[in-house]
Amino acid sequence: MMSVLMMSAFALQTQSYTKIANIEEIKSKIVKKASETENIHSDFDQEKHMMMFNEVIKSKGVFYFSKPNKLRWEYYSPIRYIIVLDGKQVQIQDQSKVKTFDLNSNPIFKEVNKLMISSFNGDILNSKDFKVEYYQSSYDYMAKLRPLNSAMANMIETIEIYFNKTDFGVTGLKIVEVGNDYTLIKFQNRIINGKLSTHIFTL
Amino acid sequence: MANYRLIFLLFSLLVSSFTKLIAQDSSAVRASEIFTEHKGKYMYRAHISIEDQELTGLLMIKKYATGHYRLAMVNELGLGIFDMEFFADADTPFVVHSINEMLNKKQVINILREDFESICVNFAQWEKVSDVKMERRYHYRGKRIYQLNAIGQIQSAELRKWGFWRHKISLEPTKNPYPASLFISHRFTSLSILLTFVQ
Repeated sequence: MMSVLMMSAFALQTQSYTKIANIEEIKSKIVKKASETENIHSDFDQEKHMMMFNEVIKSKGVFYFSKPNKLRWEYYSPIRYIIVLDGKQVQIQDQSKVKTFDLNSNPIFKEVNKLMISSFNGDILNSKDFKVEYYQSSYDYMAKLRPLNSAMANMIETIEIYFNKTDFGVTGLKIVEVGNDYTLIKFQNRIINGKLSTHIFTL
Repeated sequence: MANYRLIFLLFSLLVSSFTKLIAQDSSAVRASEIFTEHKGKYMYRAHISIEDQELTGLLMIKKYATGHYRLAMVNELGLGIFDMEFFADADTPFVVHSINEMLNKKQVINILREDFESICVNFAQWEKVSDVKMERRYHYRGKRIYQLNAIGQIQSAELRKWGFWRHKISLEPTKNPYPASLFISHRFTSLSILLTFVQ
C-alpha cells in the first residue's frame, strides 16, 4: 500500500496540547501504523534553537528510512551533505568526499540513530529507557518521552514525537537538551511505502 | 656642554624611532587576530578525531565585542557536543557550559581548552613581536607563537611547552575577516580538529 500525504507539520510549535488519559487506543494505532511502514521518503526542515546565539540555525533536505535500520539524511542547506546510517556504519558525504566510520566510533550518532529508528518503527513507545506521556492538539498527537537512563538524561531533557491524527505517521521530532537548546525536525510531503532504490543507502 | 647636547639629540632620535616602531607594531597586531572583526558569528563544519572515535557536525563561534568567545559544537542532527566560553582576560578561567559524555574527561577538556584558546586570541595581549628569517611572529601568553604571511594575516600557530610543540594550527586565510579553514594537530595525543567555514 502506498499513501502520499501532503500534510505539513508547520503547526508543531503553535498548537496547545492536552494530556490524553486513555492512551491504549491511540498507542495501538500508532504502533500498527509503524509496523505497516516499510519505508518513508520525506522532505524535512530542521531547526536548531541555540540560546547562546539567540537565533535559529535552519537546515533542510530529504530524508529516507527503510526497515529495519537504514537512514539517509540528505541536506541541501546551509551546506550540501549526506549522512547514511545502516546500523553498523555511518557514511558522510561532504561535497565530493565520502567518509565512512564504524557507528561504534561515533557514540552520538549511534544514540541518535537508535532514537530515530525506534521512533519510526514504534519501539520507542514501549522502551523501558523512557517514561512516555501522550498529548493531543486539534492537529496531531504527541508522545513526550523523558529518558530514565542517567547517561541520556544528562544530555536530553525530553523527546517529543508528533504523529498525524489521520494516518498516525511521524510528522515531527523535537529533541530538547538539558539547558533548553532544542532541535525540531518537521517532516513534509511524506511518501510511505513508496519505491526506494537500495542504492540510496550507499554512498 | 656640547657632549650633553649630542647625548640629548641622540636620545631624542632614539625615543622618536622607538615610538614609531611601537606604533607600527600596534597597528599590525590589531589587524592580526584569527577573527579580525570586532564581533561576529561564524559557522564551521567540524570534524574531531579522537583516538578511535570520530565526531562530526557544526561548530558555531561567537566573538563578543568584549573580546571573549563562545564556541558550541552540535552534530549534524542538532545534538549538542560541547559549549565552551573563553574570556579576553587571561585571569578569568574558561567555562564549560556543557559537554557530551564521551568528551567529558579532564585530559580531553584540557586539550580542547588549549586548542580553542589558541584560536580565541586577543590582540590586546600580545607580549612580543619578533622577525625570524623574514617571517613575523607574535608571541602570546608565553607559550603560543603565531606566524604571519606577507600581508599580516595569521597563517599558522603553535603551542610550545618544555621546548616541544604540543599542537600546531594551519590556517587558510582569506580576504574575509575569518579563515576558510583551520586544522589542529597534536604531537602527543591522537586528536585532530578540522574546521571548514560554512557561513
